[in-house]
Amino acid sequence: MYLEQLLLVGVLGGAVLSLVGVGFTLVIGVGKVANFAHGAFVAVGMYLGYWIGHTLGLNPYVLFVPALLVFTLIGWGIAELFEWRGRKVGAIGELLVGLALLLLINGLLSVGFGPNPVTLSNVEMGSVSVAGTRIPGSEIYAAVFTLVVGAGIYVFLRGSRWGRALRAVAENPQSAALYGVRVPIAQRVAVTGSIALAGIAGLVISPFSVLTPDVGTNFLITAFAVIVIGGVGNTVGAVFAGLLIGVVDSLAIGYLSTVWTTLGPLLIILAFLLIRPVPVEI
Amino acid sequence: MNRRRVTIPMVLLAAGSLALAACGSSSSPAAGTQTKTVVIGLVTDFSGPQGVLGTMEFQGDELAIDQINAAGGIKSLGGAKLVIKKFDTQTDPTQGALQATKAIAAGVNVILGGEVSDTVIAGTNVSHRAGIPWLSTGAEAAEITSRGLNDVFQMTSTTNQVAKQYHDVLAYVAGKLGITSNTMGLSVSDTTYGNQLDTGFSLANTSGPFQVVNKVSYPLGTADLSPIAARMLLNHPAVLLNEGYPTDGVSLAQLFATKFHPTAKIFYATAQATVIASQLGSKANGMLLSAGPSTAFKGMPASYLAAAKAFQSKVGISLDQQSLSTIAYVQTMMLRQALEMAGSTKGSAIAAALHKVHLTHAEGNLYPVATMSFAPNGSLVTPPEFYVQIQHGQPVGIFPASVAQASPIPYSP
Repeated sequence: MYLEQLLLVGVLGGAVLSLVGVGFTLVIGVGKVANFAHGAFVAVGMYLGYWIGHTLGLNPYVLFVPALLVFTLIGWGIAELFEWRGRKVGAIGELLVGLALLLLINGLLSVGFGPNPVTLSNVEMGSVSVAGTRIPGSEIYAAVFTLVVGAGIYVFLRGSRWGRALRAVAENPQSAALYGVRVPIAQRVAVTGSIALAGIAGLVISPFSVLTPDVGTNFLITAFAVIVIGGVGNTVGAVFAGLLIGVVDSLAIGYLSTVWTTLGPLLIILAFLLIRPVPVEI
Repeated sequence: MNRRRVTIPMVLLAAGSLALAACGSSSSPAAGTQTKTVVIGLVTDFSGPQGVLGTMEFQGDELAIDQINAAGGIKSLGGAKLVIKKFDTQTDPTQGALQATKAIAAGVNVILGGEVSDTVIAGTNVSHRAGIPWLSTGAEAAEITSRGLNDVFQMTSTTNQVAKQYHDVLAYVAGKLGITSNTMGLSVSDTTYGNQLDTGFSLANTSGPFQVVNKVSYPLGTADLSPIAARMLLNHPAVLLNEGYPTDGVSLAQLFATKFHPTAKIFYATAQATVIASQLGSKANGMLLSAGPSTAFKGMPASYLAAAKAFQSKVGISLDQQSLSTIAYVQTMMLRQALEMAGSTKGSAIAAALHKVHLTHAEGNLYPVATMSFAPNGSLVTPPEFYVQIQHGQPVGIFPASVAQASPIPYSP
């Protein structure tokens, strides 16, 4: 019973990590931008969900499509920012742009919503009892959403002309350009898509998360772990990596000494780097 | 020639007199018609993430200073008025020593304030060398008063005292609820703060009554506490305790309310009661939380009710919502008593007098305890403690029994 509970908790927690990691692997692998603000956009999505639920009194999922459009527009703007300013000053400049955005967003969220943790308590989507654990409908929705998004992006990248172009850019931007792929456009699409995904992921997980202005920073660190394990640009890998980290983390906390609760996931990352090092070219 | 011989000694005498007057202007009753003052340096965070706390401190200090000055100032110093100067540590521990140095250079007689323990520790190293007493308002680290600095005082409970209070309130509630099995599921934030609390709790619980059956620690910033919650609930303990930060308390309360089925009858976590009530309402029924004093509590002294009224009138905010302002008010009143006893603004005299302070309700003690005084190490002898429980979705006072609004109920999210 306890094992099942931990596995369930691990899978559900891992699904959230996967959702964040999918967008991050896209922006690093294809967009060639280490967007440090990725986690911050997840936080923005979470607070948007909180605002919809708390202020408007609606289920955040009701405004899923408008939110997706808004985050797509924001994402395109950020992509332009990276293109216009970041790339001109090289990789370090891009990192600084991302870092500045992260700090700016953290600060704005703190000003707008205050430093106290907040939660949404009025979103009722039913629940399912499994292994003595009551799984809220919103968490099931988030897990299914993750799988659909992961699979959808995989199919898009493998089966469509646009997807093949993005993969070509991920492999070798110079060669892709020689074959007629408009690399800057492809990179903008990747950055836009990843930010839209980050924002919408935040919206999806907002009903069952505790929100703090700096919550995005935690997601950023986890997202790095996801791409190390899952492979840069590999969305399916990111899904499985997120689930793996979630389950290992849960089992480590449940069974091992508390020392391992911190070290366990880090050792997995280290093992992956030793066994299957993944080159990252930005 | 004659004129010149007479003038130089006169000038020297005048200059010497002026220098002496300047040195003693804040303390000497014999300083002629010059307005006598005692300069208080408020060294705390007015900006950065904890900036709002500095403002709360100032509001409490200012109310007390207004009342003291209106009542004729410090009588043993010839009616010296208290004035306050602000020094912003910017929620940055590296500013602790710097701002303390600035305050001392500005001629303060005593320093109040501080929220971040590292800032206060750094600042008190400087103030101690200069012989200026420091009353720390909000910082909790035991190191502040455990270093043997005789002019450093602490107005909040140290982590050891807080942990002892956890133990006492949990034992009180367990007794009231008639819980015979005192098995406990414990989670600890793997930080200096969390580990100090845990050490203090273990010490307080040396002879029971709690039997820790599950204990799990977690790193700072753990985004999802679900596995932590699951481990706390293993083997169905009767009591759940989180030794962590308010974010963790909110997160666990949320998880217990929505995802898990705790059979535990008692759950305590650090979090703001108003946040829990507004976020979870009756889904947190029975959750225990620490709190500041409140006019709603039964048996609160008249001095608190009067101060709350004056604070509301002056600041436009309920004192119930700013427990830090209450602490600041009381510490300023303790300082006044020390100054009256010392009859001097010399740092060593003020520090010695602070060790002898026994502040009664009539003299500005706002807490239910009869008097407020400092232990030899500078921490409070009886740090004020208030605990509330969420009942029908709202926080109500349940501990100490002298101010309780209601009897404890079992945790039932």
